[in-house]
Amino acid sequence: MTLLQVDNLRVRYDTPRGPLWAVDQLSFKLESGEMVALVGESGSGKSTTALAILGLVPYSGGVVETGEIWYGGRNLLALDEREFRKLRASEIALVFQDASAALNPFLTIGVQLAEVLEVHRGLSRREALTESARALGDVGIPDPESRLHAYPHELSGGQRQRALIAMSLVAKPKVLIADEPTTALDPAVALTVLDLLKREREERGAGVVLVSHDLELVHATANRVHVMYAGRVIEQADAHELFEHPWHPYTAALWRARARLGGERRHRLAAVPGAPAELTALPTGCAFHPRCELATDRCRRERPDLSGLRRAETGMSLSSGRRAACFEKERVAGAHAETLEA
Amino acid sequence: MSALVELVDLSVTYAERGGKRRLKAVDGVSLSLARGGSAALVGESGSGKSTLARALAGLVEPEGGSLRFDGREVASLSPPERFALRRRVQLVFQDPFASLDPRLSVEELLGEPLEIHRVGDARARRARSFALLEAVGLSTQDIGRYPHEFSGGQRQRLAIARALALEPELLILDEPTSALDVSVQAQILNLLASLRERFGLAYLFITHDLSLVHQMCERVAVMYFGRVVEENDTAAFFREPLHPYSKALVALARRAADARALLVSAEAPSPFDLPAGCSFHPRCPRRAELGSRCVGERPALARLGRACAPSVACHLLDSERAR
Repeated sequence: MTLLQVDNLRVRYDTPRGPLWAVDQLSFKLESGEMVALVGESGSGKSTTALAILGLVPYSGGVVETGEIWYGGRNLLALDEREFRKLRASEIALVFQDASAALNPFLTIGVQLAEVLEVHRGLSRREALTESARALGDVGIPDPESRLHAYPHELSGGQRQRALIAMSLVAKPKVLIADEPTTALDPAVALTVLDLLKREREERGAGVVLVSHDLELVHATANRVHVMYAGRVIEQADAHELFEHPWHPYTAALWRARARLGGERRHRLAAVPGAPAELTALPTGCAFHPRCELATDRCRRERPDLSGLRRAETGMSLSSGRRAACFEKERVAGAHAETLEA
Repeated sequence: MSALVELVDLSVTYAERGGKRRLKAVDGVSLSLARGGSAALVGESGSGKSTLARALAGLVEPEGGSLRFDGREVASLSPPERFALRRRVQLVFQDPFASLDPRLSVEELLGEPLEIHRVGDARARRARSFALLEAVGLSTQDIGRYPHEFSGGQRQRLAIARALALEPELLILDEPTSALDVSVQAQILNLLASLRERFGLAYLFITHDLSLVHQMCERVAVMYFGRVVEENDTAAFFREPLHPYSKALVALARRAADARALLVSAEAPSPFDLPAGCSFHPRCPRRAELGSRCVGERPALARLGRACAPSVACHLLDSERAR
């Protein structure tokens, strides 16, 4: 079942240096129980997309120029703020990253959790506190009834992080937006967070939109991946296919450039030259061409759209739905086929 | 050849603000770093790795123990000697957006350390700035620009150039790539590798990124609540980490299937209320084997052989070796 469908989203920000499009021509679907990852670097548009799904673009000073975001038979972008507020947290929730910034230090954990339920589900304080204790227990906080009365500073760092996740999950939202959910966390706590997200997907069929720059994390946890560059999706594929056999030179370059844990240490890493594209000064043609070793004159002139592979002789499976925005993708995919044969 | 830096039983203590409690951020650490060597301090947040680095850089005063630089006890140096020592140890921080003064031009940023240490005249400093820009892969035409005109990766190059201005022997790099875009991280690591070869620098990385350690470092020290629990050759460490905590860290970084089982609890204890005995024992996966020493006596870091052999602080491994 499709939970969320984003169609042709385009978001503009007006800056002193002129307008820029943080997200352009973005479309994707999130199925029940699925984790879809938006991967990219700074300026790629991945966090703006998350804001759009939460209806927060206007608060960030941006304008949704075109596009529709369908959830439960309604176009979210057509809702007014009051209607959107009802959905936020109860149906579509953000998984916060930084517990010290997202929890109110003056309110007990119980009050902060219960508030979500009182507002969104109309529960009484007493009912809401009972539910809140259950939510804390669900995320593995021992003795949850007594922890309801604790203030954030009275919990350990790991428990605060769990309490924060409990707050995102307490109203059982169907769509979870996780923007770099583990970046600031120690590895053991990060693993707990990922386990909790996985459980929400498996047990309740929640869908997760994971926004991350961490390729290894995405490779290990997501079902499908949309790689973004300068506001557009430049490649979309199943997670395992994407990294094993990238079609876009940017995906391939990112995956090659990372330092690795296993195997022989290489003398130097395969760095990608240059810096991520500036949205206020986008190159002509393909935004990645100044950093791409395969760039041709056409790439410098013309902007490629997402499409499938033209030739089947590369030996790669032409799986449905897989697309990349690159004029030279056959060469990239073919190069992999050759290395595989060799 | 003597070590460039040698720590013996070094401790750093912080007093809680407004409170009576004291926190031993670094608790009896003994380590050494070879001239031109590269090492990493790894561990979870609160393990004391950044405090240890700050003590090495002279930014916090150790409470006890010995810190020797180039064979000389730092605590016994006169103020002018300590000032001179600062030239030889430089820091590169995580966030090049925060670590560079936005009001200073590139020329001022690179010239300032030279000016403070009274190196050369204005002309010599300018020439040095050009050489530094070239060394870190920036253009000499950038000399009049300001930090905000650069991308994150270029800013980190600038921070590295500034750290190199005084020709230090040791660079302390505190998460030097974690604020950078993925495609740029490899550029900076490659630059650091070539600068080390070119200038014979020693590096100490403070990081939680084990893949960086694998790529950049010869030695690695794992810290847990202020103490070093393992010190090892990097290749050997990734082949076979020895301490149960190291095993868990490596398994977590590899996303190994058994990573969950290697830390009994994901929760680290409070630093103000550390468990008795080995601080790691409540999280130790070898729970069934824990002996009275694990719960009652703090294990010392013991070398498992000659000079370059690994050191581990674990009673269980001790008794295995004794057998």
